[in-house]
Amino acid sequence: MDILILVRQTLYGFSIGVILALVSLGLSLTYGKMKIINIVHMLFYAVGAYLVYTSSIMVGNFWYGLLLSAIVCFGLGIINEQILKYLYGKSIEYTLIVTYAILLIGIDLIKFIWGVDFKAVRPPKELSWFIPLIEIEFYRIFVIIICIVLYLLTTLFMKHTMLGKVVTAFIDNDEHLQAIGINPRIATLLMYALGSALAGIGGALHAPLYSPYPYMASDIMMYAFATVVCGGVGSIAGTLLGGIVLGMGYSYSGYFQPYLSPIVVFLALFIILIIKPEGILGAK
Amino acid sequence: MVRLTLFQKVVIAVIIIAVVVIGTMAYYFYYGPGAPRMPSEFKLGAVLDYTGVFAACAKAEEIGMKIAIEEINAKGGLFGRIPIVLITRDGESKPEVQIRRFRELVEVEKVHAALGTCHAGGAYSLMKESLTAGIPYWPSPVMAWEAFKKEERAPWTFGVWTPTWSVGYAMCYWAVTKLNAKNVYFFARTDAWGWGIRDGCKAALEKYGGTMVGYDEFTLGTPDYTPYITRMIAAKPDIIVSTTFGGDQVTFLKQAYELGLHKVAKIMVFTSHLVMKGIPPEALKDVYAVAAFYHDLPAGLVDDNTYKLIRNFTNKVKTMAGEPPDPYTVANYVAVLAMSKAFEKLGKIENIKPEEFEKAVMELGSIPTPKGELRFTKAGTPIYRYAFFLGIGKGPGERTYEYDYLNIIDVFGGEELLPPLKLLGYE
Amino acid sequence: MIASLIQLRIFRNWNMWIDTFLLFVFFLFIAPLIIPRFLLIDILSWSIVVYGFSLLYGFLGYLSFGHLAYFAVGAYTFACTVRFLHIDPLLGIIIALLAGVATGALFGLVTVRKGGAYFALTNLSVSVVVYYIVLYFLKDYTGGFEGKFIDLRHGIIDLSSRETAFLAVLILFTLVFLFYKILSKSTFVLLLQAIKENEDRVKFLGYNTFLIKYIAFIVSTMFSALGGAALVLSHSYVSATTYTPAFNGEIVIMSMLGGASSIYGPIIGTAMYLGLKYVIGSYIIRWELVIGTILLVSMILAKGLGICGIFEKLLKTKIKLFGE
Repeated sequence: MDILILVRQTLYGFSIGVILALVSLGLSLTYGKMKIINIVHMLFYAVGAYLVYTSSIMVGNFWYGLLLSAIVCFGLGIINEQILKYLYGKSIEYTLIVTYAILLIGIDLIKFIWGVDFKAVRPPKELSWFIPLIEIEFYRIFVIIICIVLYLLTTLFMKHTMLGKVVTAFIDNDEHLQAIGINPRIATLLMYALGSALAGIGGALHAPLYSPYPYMASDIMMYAFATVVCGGVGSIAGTLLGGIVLGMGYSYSGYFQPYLSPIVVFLALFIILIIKPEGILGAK
Repeated sequence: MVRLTLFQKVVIAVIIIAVVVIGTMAYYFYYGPGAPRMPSEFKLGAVLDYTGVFAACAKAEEIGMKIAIEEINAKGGLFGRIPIVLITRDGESKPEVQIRRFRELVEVEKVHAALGTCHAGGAYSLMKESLTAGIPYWPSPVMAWEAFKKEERAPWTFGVWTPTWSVGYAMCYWAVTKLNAKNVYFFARTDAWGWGIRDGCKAALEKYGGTMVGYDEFTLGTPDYTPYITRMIAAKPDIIVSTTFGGDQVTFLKQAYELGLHKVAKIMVFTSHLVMKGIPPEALKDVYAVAAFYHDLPAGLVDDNTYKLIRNFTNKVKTMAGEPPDPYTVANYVAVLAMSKAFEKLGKIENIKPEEFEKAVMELGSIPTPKGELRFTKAGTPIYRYAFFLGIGKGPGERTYEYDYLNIIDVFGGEELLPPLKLLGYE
Repeated sequence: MIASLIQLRIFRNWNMWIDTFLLFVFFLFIAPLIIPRFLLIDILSWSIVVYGFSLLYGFLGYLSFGHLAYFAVGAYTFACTVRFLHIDPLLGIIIALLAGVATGALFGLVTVRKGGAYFALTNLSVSVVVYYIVLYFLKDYTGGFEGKFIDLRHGIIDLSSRETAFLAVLILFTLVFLFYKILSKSTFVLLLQAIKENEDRVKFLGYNTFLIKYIAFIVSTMFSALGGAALVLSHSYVSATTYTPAFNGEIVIMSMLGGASSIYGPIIGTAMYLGLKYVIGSYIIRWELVIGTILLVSMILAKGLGICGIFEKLLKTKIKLFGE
């Protein structure tokens, strides 16, 4: 492989990885803290993608769609939390089936609202040009930058703002939080809403790179779980790392044979799990 | 802890199962073997993939069937007195479920004939199953041309789609003769679809004097065609003949446009209304598109009768679905028409043997359809007068209405573009 | 140690044989009157896989998200040996069984080390890898997405006819059920449940917990492979679409619906799920919506217990539905 192709595939992998990380972050946080496998989370990714599609059809503007996805998914995340509050403490069977059932319902609603065919979304005109020599869409570079920025913002938010510190404290130990007199409900709500909004943005950013279709929510499920466990449950940096590692694997192998990508991704997951079952940056 | 007697256990077991399947029981008893037969109705079963990856195709197929049934029932039905009833079931885009649903249609609904699926493998399995089931089955999607080989095909199964082989033949025939593009770069999908088209293309190139200067393969569902497109640009052929279809075609044309492939070579794809719906207009501009049916033809390209049929049919579909017909719709419309004529020729709708149904179809002579006159070869492949239409994609400025995708410039059909009978094991 | 795990005096328990025989008779004569046979044969085939899954989940508490892998291994081994080697389908079933054992032996070495998300995802990884291999890399043999038709006629018994195929699958199911029943009364299962509660304690007792889990895993994959062969038997067709990793959840649901730790749980859960899909799918095109809602509502009402769990509660006595 000559150096240009290597550069291209690396950037390509990066772009997939950061989107994966963005989408999986919410999952990682909620699983790490609440020990709930929230399958409904995948819906936000799909909703984000479809909202961007609708926005580009109706208003012709990609940016409005991006903002819309963030806001709508933020709201949906809060609703999701209300549902999951109910499930907290219940057996894993219960949680799995309930969230899976909601996913099924959600997918069918998507089919009802938007129809069953594949949709075409174009990236914003300013960004849809190919970088010469490397032959990669500039839009992908944009995606990488945006996702990393969002990630940094999230980390800063968690570390330096009052609200963020509340959420971090909540993730570490919610009893301490209650001891100080802060209602952990705010923290949970925020955690869900934030994670969902990020997933929605991830979906929105991904939409121009391929075609949204109703079952994309269930298809991303495996990759999201893989990213979370690979990077380490509950670790923000870990999810990013996990996403990038898997994204690279996907990209490099995909160059030779697209069907090799999932195999490589899950083989990588398999091996990482064997070596370090908690994930790369997971706590023992 | 309570120890149950044998009797108690049996009672509990029966109660559990009864509660569990109470819905199925009520359903089964309603339609079951004890229910009175209604020979005054012709039941047509269809396994359609409403859920799963082929959901878009199922709707298109169903509309074609419904329109045909409406037309026939308007005259009273089969033989002028037996109305047709359409009974559909969801195949979930999986042969495993499609077979189950087919069996349900046969055993529970007691259908007299069946159509269906959007999946070539599923259609093949239903064709085999139809022989044990005892009712004629015609496939709704395109099947691999190998399914029409003598040792494979069920005698009463006829295809209403010109096989993939013919698609390739037509595409490369036009590339060489009409577009004067003798150096062809062929882009094949790694499966029966892609290879079938390739085989047909090779035959046409051989006959009309073209050469395959480049060849590449891609897998279904490839998200990124950039490496392939870069290679195509480097090869500088006269034309790229691409077998991308469905979502792949959308992605391919999008990326090809952005990479500027159209500045280097002509591009030709096989397409359909459902696919073109999703292609951004700039990406379709000046692309040569071959379709099995198109709703908007310039005058003089086809004979008057067919032109009228096309207009009528398009209007009916537009009224029912809000969109013009897709080739899936036309194919299934033709299937229902042809099947009913065969039944009428036979004079009966039950206890049909495969060979007698086959004979009836062959004796039908030609049937007028929106693709021109239709006859069948003894291999079960269809001879349409207008099997394919060649058009040039219209850019964003040229479109006068929403579905105005193509400027049709030629038609092609007849027996020439069908895979030779020798290839299929006949003669 | 292995011998002590399987107490042979179980075989003298008449109750067990009678139960199994009754079940066989039920499915042979009574059930086909209620459920159409073409649906019943699919329910029986799938329930074999769910038994395999439930062995691990119900007793050991290890949730596998990738049992379709072993299902696929069994199905394709059966399909390919019958089609390409032209062997008797009955022999094909045995080979499929052995393939399941081999696969379990291979992957079990790694997967059973831990439970929870680790177990779920390592199995999922196997499922994904197996799926793409049969979808594409072994496409010439497996038929990939399109699939292959399997002619079941050459063999001592003609298994292509509906009646014999049904009988064959029913026999396989009954054997699996019998095996499961025997297993459920052995100390082996008690050990699994003990490991579920506290693995360290079992280790302190001197047991090699890894070996126990390993054996359970192999039995589970063996069942799944058998289920795969049974499904191909019922349709004479195999296609990769059935083994898409996204559908692993269906096996999980079928097991949970019926109650993973009871003997009748898997068959009831499978019957419910497939029966529900069948009935609702026949009336309503948007069945995914309806089934999702039904699952949701019933889970909430049932408070997370499977059907058998509910039954136990209803009768207000802890009826040990296994081991009588």
